[in-house]
Amino acid sequence: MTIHASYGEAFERFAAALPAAERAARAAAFDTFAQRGLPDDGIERWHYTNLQPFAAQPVQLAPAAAGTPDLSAWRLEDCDEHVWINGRALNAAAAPAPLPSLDAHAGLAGLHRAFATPGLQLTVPRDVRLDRPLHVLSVSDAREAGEMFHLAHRIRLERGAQALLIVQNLGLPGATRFSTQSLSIELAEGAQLTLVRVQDEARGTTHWLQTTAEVGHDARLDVVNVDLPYDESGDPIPGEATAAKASGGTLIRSDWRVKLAAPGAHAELSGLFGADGRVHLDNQYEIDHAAPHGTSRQWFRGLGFGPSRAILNGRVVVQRGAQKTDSEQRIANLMLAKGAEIDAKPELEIYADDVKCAHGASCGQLDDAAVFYLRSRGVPEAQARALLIYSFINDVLARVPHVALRLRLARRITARLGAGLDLSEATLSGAAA
Amino acid sequence: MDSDLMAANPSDIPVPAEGIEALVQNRKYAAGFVTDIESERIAPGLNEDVVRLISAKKQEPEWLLEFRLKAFRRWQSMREPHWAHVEHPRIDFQAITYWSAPKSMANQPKSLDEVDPKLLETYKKLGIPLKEQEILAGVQNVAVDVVFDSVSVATTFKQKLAEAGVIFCPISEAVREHPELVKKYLGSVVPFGDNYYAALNSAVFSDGSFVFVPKGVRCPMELSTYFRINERNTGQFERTLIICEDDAQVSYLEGCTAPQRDENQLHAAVVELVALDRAEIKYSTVQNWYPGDENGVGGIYNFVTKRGDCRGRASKISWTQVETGSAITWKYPSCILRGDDSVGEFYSVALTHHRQQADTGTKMIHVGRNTRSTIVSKGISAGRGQQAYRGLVRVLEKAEGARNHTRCDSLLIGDQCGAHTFPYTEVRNPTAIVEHEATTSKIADDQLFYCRARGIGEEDAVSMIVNGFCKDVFKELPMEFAVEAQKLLQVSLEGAVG
Amino acid sequence: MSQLLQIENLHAEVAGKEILKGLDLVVNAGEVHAIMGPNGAGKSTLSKVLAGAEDYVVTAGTIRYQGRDLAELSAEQRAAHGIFMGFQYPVEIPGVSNMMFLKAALNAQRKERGEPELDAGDFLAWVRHRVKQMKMDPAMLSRGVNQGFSGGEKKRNEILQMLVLEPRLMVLDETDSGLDIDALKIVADGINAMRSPERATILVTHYQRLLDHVQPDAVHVLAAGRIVKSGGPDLARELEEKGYGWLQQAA
Repeated sequence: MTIHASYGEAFERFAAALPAAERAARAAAFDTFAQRGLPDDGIERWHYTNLQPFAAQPVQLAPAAAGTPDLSAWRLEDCDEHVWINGRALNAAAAPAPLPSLDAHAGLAGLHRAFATPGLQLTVPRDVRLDRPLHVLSVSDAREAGEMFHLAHRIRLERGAQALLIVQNLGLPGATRFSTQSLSIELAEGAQLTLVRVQDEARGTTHWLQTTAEVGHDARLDVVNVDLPYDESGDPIPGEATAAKASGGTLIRSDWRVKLAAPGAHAELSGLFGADGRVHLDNQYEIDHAAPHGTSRQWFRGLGFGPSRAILNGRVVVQRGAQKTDSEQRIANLMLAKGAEIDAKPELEIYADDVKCAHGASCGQLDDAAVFYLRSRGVPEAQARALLIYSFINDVLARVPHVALRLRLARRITARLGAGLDLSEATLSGAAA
Repeated sequence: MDSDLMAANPSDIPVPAEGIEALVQNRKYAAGFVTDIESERIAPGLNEDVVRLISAKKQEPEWLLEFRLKAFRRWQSMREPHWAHVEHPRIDFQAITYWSAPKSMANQPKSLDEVDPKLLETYKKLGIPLKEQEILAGVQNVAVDVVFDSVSVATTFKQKLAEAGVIFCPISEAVREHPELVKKYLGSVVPFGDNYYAALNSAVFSDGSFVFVPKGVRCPMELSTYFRINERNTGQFERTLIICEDDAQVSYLEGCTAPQRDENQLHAAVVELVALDRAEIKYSTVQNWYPGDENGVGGIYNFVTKRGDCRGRASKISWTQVETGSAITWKYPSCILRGDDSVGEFYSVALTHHRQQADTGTKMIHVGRNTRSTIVSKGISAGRGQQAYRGLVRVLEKAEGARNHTRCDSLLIGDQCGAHTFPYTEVRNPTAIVEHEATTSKIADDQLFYCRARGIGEEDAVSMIVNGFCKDVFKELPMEFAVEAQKLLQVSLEGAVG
Repeated sequence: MSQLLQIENLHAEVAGKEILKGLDLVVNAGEVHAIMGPNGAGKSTLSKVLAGAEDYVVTAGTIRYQGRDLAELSAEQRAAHGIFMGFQYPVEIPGVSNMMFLKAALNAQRKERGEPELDAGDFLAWVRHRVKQMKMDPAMLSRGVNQGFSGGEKKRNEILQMLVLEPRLMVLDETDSGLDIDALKIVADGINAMRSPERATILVTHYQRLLDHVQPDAVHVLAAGRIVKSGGPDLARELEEKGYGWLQQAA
C-alpha cells in the first residue's frame, strides 16, 4: 500500500509532542496503517465503500480553531455540554487516555490509534444515575483542504449506572476534511445507556466512526443514530436541482459493533437517515450475541431524498452456545426521488439452534391508499405525503428521549419535505390529550 | 443426486433390483459406486497446451479455441474469490485432470448398441432410462442426455424432438452441427471472464447439453441431462446452453452424482439460458454430488455459474433447485430481467448435513420496466453443516415499476450447525418495490411433541416437518422430481436427530 | 328544496373494468339517502368516485355538486368543499397522532375556503367536545391515526372526523359493518347529529339495521352498476326480507 507522504510528515510532528512512553505504541499503529493502507471495496465489509483514495491524498493535522464558533443553533438546554473542535477539547484540558483498541480494518484502526486525541472519558460510578444528559459536540472547522483529526471517546457505566448521552458531529462549512472517531462503551451488570448520535457533517467531509459496545449481564444499550448529512438549503423534494448544485464528496461511514457479552444483555439499535446532495452514507450495524438469553431489536428507516447513495448493513451474529437468543430487525426505506440509491443488507449469521431470529427489509414508496385517505380529509397532497413520511420515520424518532432534540430533528426532516407541518411540541408528544 | 432420482416414478420404468425403498433405507449415498472402465485421460495440470489439447480432441473450430484461450489468459490474471462463507484448503489447479473419457467413446458410437455395456450398466444402476422404448412404456415423457466425466455418452429422443424443430444434443455436437447458434449465444450470458470459475470453465469446458427451441415451439417433452463424475482426480467442467426463441417454451431438468471417494473433486459448470420475446424456460436441478462422509472427508466442490437472460419482452426464466449433495456448493442461479415485463423466479431447497457447506442463492437484476422477480429459499442445516443464503436484488435506474419479493427461511437441526443470510438489495429506481423477509429457527419442540404424541417417531416427524417447510419449493418441481426430492431429503437427514 | 348532488348517466371503471354503467341519482339538501345492493354492485366504487380517488376513472356522465362539475376538483378540494367520505377500511397511519391529523385536515380545509386557521387552544376545545360526543377516550387523540384500533373503533373515528370537519355531503361507505350494537347506536347518533337542512347524507350499506337508527328519506338499490329501484324506507325492509335476487333479475 502506498500512502501519501503527508501522513508520515503529520505523524512526525504529532509524535514529537507526545510523551516518550506513548510514542512506541503510536508508531506501531502508524506502521500498521502505512503497511495496510485504507480499506477498499474488495473487502466484504467494505463492499460499497472505498476509502483507499483518501490514503493517497495530501492531509495535514487540523490546527486548533482560530476562535470559538457560534454553536447556539445546536445547543440543547438542560444538558451538560462538552465541545471538541478539530479534535481538541474546548473547555478543559483533556485527560490522558489509553489508546482505543478497535476491531476494524487494521490499516484504518492503525491510522486512528496513531493520531487519536482523547475525547469524552466518562465513568459513571455504581448505581449512579446521571440526572442531566451529556451532550458531546464534536465540531470540525476545516479552513484548508485535507485537514484531519481523530478523536477517541470512552464511556464506562459501572454496575447499575444509568446515563443518556447525545453525540453530535457537526461540520462547519469550509474546506474538505477527513476525520475518524471511536466510541468505546462498556456497560457493567444492570447498567443502562441511551446513546443518541446525530450526524450533521458538512459537505466535503470524509468521516469514519466506530462505536464498540460491550453489554454486560442484564445491562441495556439503546442507540438512536440519525444521519442527516445533506445540505440544509437543498431544494424541497421532488426536485433535481440538488444534483447539479451539490459539489458532493461527502462520505460518512459508521460501524456499530455491539456485543451482548453476558446473559440477559439487551440492545436496541435504531437508525434514521436522509440522503441527498451526492452524499455517500454507509452504516454497518452489528449485534453479536455472544451469551445466552440475549435480546436485540433493530429498527431502521431511510429516506432517499435525492441523488445520493445510502448503504445499510444490519448484521446479527449468534455465537455457538448463545441459546435462547431473541433477535429482530426491520429495515424500511423510502425512495423519494430519482437519483437516489439505497442498498440494504440485513444479515443473519447463526451458530446456535434454539434461537428466534427474524429480519425484514423493504424499499418502496408511500402507500397510495394512505395518501388518498389524507387527501379525502382535505389535506393537500404535498402535505399528505409529508405527514406520511413523518409517520414513517416516527418509529425511530420517537426513540429519541430528549424532547427538544426530537422536535428539532423532526422539524429538520419535515422542512426538507417542503410542506409546512405543524410539529408543535403538543402534537408531537400528544400532550393535547 | 440419489441414484433413483432421475428414474422418477417406479411405475414408469423398470425398477432395478435394488428398488427405491431399499436404496432409501439401506444406503446413505446410493450413487457412490465406481464404474470400472478404461478411460483415456490427460495428465493433470493446466496450461495453454492443455486447453489446445481439449479443443483438438473435440475437433473444434478455430473461433472456439480462441474463446478458450482468451478465457484461460483471463483466468490466469484473476484471484480466487474469498467472499463466500465457506472454508476449504487451497485448490491445487495443477493437480486436476481436465479431460477424461471412456476409451470406448473415442470413436463416437453412432447408436446405443455401440456404447460400452459397462457404461449402459452404470446408468441402469443409477436408474437413468437410456432406451427410448423403456420410457415409452411409461407415462413419463423425458428425453435424456447423459454426460460421463468429460463426454456425452448418449442422448435420447433426438429424432422425435427434431420433428418438432427442437435441437437437444451434447454441446460438442452442437459446435459441429450448429456452429452459428453456438457462436451467437455462447458466452453471451456469462462472459468468459465473468468470474474465476466461469473463466476456468470457459477455458476447459468439456461437455454439457445444448437446447434450442425455435420460434413458437413448445418443447413436446421434458429435457434432462444427467451428469456423472467417475474418474479419480478429475474435474468436470460442464457447459450448458439453452435458447428459447420468441414464444417458445421448455422445461429442463438436471441431476448429478459421483462415486464415494476420499478426495475432493471439482465441478465447475457454466449454464447459460436465453429467453427471447415471451419465451419461457423452466430449469430444475436436483444436485446430489457426493457430499463427503460424516467427518468431511471427500466430496465434490460444486462451484457453478448459472445465469439466465430474459432478453425478450415478457419472457420468463424460472430456476428451481434442490441441493443436497456436494461438500461445498457455491452457486447463484440468476436472472437478468432485460426485457420489459419479464419475470424471474428462484426456488431453492438446500440441505447441509455433517460437514457440508453451502453458499447459495440468486441474483435478480432488474433492467427493464415492470420486471418482476420472486425468490423463495429454504435452507436446512444439520450436524455441523454450514449454510448461507446469498442473494442480490438490484433494480437499475430505468427499471420503472420493478417488483421483488424474497422469502428466505432457515431451519436449524442441532446446535453445531450454522445458518446465515446475506441478502443484498440495491435499489436505484424510486418506483421500485423490493421486499425481503427472513426467519431462522429450529423445529419447534411443541411441533415435534405433537407429532410424537400422535405416534410418529422423531425422525419421521422431523422429516415430515422439513418437507412441510420446503413445500413452497417442491411444488415448483415436475411432479416425479418432487416425490424423489422429498425422499432424498429424508435420506440426507438420516442421523440428524436424536 | 335545493339539489346538492346530481349524478347523471355515470360510467366509471377501475383497472380497466367498468363498474358503474349509467347511474343516475339526485340528492337534495336536508336528505338522507340509503344505497343498498349486493356485493360487487358498485356501491364502494360510487363512494370512491365521489371522493375523487384517481384509480377510479369516470368514462362518461357527470356529477354536479352544489351546481359545479365535480371533475374539476381534486380529492382535497372536494373535502374542503364539504364532501366527506367515511371509509369502509380506514387507513392506519402509525406515529401521526389523531390530533395532528385532524388539525392538519381542518386547517387545510379552512385555508382552502379562505377562513382563518384555528389556533391550538380553540382547536383543542373544538375536538375534545366531539370526542366526548362519540364516547371515545380522549387519550386516543395522542395515539396514531387508527393505529391498533379495532374495526369498531376505526368506524367511530371516521364519524369523529366527520363531526370535527363538519362537511356538507357525507358519503358513508359501510360505516355500519363491524360494529356491535352499542357502537352502532353511537355512530347513528353521530350521523343524526349532523342532520340539518343544508346537509345531506348518503349511506352505503348492506343491511337494514343502520336504517333502524338513521331514518332515510329515500332508499335506492344499486345492482350491476345502476340504480335499479328507488323507494321510501319500506324498500329497505322489503330488501331485508326478500334479498336482492328479485331485483337483480330485473336489472
